[in-house]
Amino acid sequence: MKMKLILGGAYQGKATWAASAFGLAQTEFGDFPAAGKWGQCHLERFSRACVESGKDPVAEMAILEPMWRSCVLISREIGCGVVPLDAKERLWREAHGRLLRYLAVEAESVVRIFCGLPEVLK
Amino acid sequence: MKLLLIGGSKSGKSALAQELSKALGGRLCYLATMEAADAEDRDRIARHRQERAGWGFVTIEQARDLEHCFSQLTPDDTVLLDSVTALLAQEMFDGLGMDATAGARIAKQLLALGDRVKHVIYVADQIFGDGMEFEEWTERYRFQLAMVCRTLAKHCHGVAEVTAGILQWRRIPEGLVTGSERGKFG
Repeated sequence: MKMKLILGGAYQGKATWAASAFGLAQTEFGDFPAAGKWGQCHLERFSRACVESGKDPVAEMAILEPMWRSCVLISREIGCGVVPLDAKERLWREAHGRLLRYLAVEAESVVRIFCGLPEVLK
Repeated sequence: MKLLLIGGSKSGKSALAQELSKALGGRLCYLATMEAADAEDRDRIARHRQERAGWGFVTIEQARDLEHCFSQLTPDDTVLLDSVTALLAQEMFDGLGMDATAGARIAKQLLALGDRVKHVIYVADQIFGDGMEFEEWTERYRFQLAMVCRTLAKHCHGVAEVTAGILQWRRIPEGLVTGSERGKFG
C-alpha cells in the first residue's frame, strides 16, 4: 500500500477510523517513528520533538521516508487555534503545518476525520 | 430523526438548528441545558431567547439529570437540545470533583431522549481544533465531549459541521433535505 495521511482535531477517532478502513489491528499502531507498524500516530509529537532539538521536521521526515512510504500516517491538526504567545509553540505550529503539506503531496490519499466521520480531501 | 450539529463558538449552530427544527415540524421544544453561572451567561441566555422569540418554541430548562424532563415531552415533539457541551460540563464538574463517568451517562440519556420524540437536534461545540495541550481536567473534558459526540454521531441520521453560519453535512440525512431547502441546509 501507498502512504495515506489521516488528519483531524483531537479525539475525533482518526486511528479508530483508519483501523476499520484499512483492516488494521490495535497492535499495528504505534507513535511515529515506530518501526514495523502499519499505523504511525501522533506526527504532531514528532514535529514537536524536532523543533525542540532545533531540527526541521520536513527534512527529518524525508530522511525517514523508507519507514513511512507504505504506512498510514495519523496526525492532529494543531493550527486552528489562537497564535500562541510562546515562540517555541509558534515555531511548532508552523513547522507542523509545513510537514502536513509535504506529506499531503506525497500521500496517495488524505482523509480528514470529523466526529468519527471521514471526509476525503485527496 | 436524530441530527447532530457541531461548530465553533458563535458559528451559527443554534440559528441553523432552529431553522432545521421548523423544517421538521411538530411541536417545537427548545431544551436549554446551560445553567447561568454569572451575568455573562445570563446575557447569553437572554440573547438566545430573543433570537428564537416568535419561532414557536416551548422552552424546557434542564441543566443536569436529563431524564427528569422526559415527562414534559410527547412523541410528536421536535426537540432542539442546546447544548451537549454545557450539559457535560455540569454533569462532569458538579460541585468539587470530577465525574469521570459523566460522558458515558449523558450519551445514553441523550440517545434515550431522541428515542422518545419524533425528531431531535443535538448541538455541540467544536473545541478540538487547536494545538494546545491543556491541563488534565480540561483535556479529560475535551476527550469526553469528543466521545459523547462520536457516540451520538453513530446513531444520528445526519451529522453536520457549522462554520460561519454555513452548514456542511458530514453525513447527509436521507429524506430531510429536499428541493428548495437543499440550498439552505447545504
